[in-house]
Amino acid sequence: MSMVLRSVALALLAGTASLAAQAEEKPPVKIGFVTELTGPWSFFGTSCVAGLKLAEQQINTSGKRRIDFVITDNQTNPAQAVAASRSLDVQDKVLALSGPTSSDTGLAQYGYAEQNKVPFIAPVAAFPQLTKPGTRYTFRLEPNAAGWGYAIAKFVEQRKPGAKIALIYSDYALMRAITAGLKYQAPLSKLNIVADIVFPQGANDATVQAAQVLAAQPDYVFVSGAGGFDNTITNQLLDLGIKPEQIIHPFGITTQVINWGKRSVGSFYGTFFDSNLDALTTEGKTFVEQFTAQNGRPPSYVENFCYVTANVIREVIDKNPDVADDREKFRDAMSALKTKETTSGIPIEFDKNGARKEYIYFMQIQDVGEKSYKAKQTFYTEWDPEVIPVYTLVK
Amino acid sequence: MSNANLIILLSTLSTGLILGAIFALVAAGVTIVYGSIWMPNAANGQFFVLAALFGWTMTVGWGLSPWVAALLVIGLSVPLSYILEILLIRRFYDVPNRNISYFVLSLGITQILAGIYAITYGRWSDQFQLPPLVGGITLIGPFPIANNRLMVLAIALAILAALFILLRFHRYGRALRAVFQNREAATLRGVNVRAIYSLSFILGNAVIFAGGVLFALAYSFDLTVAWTMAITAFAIMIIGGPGSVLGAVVVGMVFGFTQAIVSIFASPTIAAFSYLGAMLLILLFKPSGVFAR
Amino acid sequence: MLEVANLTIRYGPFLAVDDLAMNVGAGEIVGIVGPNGAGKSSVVKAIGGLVAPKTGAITFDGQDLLAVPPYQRITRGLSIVPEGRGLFPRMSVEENLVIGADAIGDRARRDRNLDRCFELFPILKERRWQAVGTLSGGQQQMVAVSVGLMADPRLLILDEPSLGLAPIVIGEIGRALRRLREEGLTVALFEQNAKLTCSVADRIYILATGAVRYHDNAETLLQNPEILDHLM
Repeated sequence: MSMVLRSVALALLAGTASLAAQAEEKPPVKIGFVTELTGPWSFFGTSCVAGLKLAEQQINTSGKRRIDFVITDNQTNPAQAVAASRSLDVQDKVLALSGPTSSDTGLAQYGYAEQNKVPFIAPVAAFPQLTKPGTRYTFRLEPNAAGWGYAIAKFVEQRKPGAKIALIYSDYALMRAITAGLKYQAPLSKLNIVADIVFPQGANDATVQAAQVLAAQPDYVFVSGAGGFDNTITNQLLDLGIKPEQIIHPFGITTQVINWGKRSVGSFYGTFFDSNLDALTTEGKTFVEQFTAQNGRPPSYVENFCYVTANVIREVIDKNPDVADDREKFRDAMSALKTKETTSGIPIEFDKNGARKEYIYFMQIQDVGEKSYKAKQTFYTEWDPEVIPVYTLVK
Repeated sequence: MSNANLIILLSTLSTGLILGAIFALVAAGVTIVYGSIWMPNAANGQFFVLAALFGWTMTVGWGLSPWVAALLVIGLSVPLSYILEILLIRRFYDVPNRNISYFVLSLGITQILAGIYAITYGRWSDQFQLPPLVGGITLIGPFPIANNRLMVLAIALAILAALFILLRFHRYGRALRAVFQNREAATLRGVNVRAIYSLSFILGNAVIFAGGVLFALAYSFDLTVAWTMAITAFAIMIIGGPGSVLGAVVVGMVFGFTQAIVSIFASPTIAAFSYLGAMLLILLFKPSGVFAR
Repeated sequence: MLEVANLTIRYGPFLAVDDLAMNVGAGEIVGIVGPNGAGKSSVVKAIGGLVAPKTGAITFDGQDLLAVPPYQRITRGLSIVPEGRGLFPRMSVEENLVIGADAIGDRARRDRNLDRCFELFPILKERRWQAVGTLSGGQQQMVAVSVGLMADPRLLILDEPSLGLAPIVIGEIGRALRRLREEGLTVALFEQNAKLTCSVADRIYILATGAVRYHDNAETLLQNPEILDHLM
């Protein structure tokens, strides 16, 4: 066969191959999204899905390989989270898992993902052990909770050196992790913890404890109750004469801020995304507008992390199309990712354990309405995930 | 006494009274149903939360005044209980050892209701907060207390008093207590035992509903309250003596104060365990309960 | 006044009452004596509606009693004091008495009957606020008889009033029954204690193994004590 003929034949072959690729479109990439649609944490899970849905419309533009999120309920139940993960892994053969917005379900899914080598992107789950040393398949967008505790100490130190601080919170893994970080950092930041009150799950009254907090005469009060109890503690502290300006909520999502109400104007809360941030990107502003139009209230960090999760997956697949059909390659691409949140411009990159370069904003509430609120950014800090020994502080 | 200590003391009193009165209402409701039809209603916590959810929907959703909503919720418990009684409860009246059947039945009702709440109300579960009955704050010495919570306390105590008057001085109340103590003798004295069964199921649930809506008016709540309340109400009933309304009320108040006091000297977590510890101790020394025969 | 005919009661395979017939006429005191297990309490329960007879008819004042719901029988004038006294132990003496009168729903009559009971058994007036469960057995029996009288019955049925009581108390109950008869009350006394029964009753039925074995005037029976010895 002559050289000419051979090259013509090759060209023809190549041509048919590319034609075939165009005609026979690749099947959508499936991501298993196991989250809290029912159960006690469902206000987080449903908010998250609302953010995800918005992103899903935008990332599936024509000409790109479709990404489908298979949304499954975990009933806020770790066992259910594992069962759903297995079904998505084995039956649906998803590329990766995602979805949990609680540390308990997140940890359950983490165990499944690491054991079965399924890439796992945790949008909203703050318990440190999700990125403990040796983690390989898990990537977490939310900063770890012990780190928030560190950041809260930094925030108070900056506002009032040597301040006295009282802690009053519910006994959940999340709150234990935050306070562990805070208690570790407090002496280093020369803060004085004057009360440390833990409520069991299902507690309902905090008047006496609020009185104890008052008696300890703190400069700042760290308040975090679970679910409806958060409002009860906050209100009872305010009833007894603690000033809103003394109150620090470690985190606040839109509905929480609205629930705290007008009487909490002046209080502080931590967040990772807020519709009132100074530095929203253009896309971030559009996200807030569209979300508000669809849901009747602005989004907060939960919705944002789930929105960002979809965008991150899109970006990784767009940059390296061949990772879309190979879990190991997808994991490697996630691990090597260096990008920014499209909504706020905050960098996203993961360390060897899948933990992100961490950050937090502290907002001060300015006004609260029926469906919206105003808050101003008063503090921002970033830190390395292991600035304090987060993995040994909280087991 | 320093101001701070006085505030702690007064806050303990107020918490003990309010929580105690609400515990007493729920436990009285549970014990009335148990005493008459032998139904250990494990779903009492779900009924309690149902009342709270109705209250929330009526005030926050429909914009009704909390007063109207509270009355409507308690009123609504009557037809709801009656329908449930006709459909399910009544069918077991002649079953021997029916308390076991009832317990399993009520666990089933618990699961079904919990599932329904999760689907219907779950996504608002951090937002259940009712507008107050009355605004403002009263200073008792140095201790400020919301008038709303004082009002809730007054209503809870008034309902308890009304319940006592009914049980002690009214014909139906006497008949109810007669059925608790001796069904056959009650029949011979002219008491229609089946009618009393219906009446006590309705009355017991009405009292639980009252507890639920008052709790929602005094505190923010979420769906997990159902479990805590169910366990607490059972513990109160067992300590007080199943079937003893007086026992339920006294032990309910004691529980309220226990939660308040233990949480000062130990911690709120230990306070919650102290109930169960007290229950085990009582079962060890007086298995039939403090106020039983 | 009360007619029982062909009454048969079974508890599963156990035949408790076998084709029993008896009657109580207005103004009489009728004694039904028999040893333990003779079926006395089963007959009382059937009259009160607490067990359903297998066969038989019970009429009261000519009306079919089995068609009347058990809880309405008291308002027809039929009052039963069951075996074990049928009291509410955690309630006071007065409350027990008041419940006895609740069926008639008349406050004036209730208060009058209350006074009558206190007159019949003065000790009860002293103890009126005491929980019945804390009274002695004799005092409890006095309460039980009194409760039976609170709804102005025309027929009072007593099941084993003497059970476990001291002779002196039994005597007091017997005196009360005789006094009630003088006031015109009809009484059916189901008893193991033949001596007490014969001393107050006009007529006696002797029951054994669920059937009437003997029936005669109390006087005849008292004169022939060997019959009692033989049958009991």
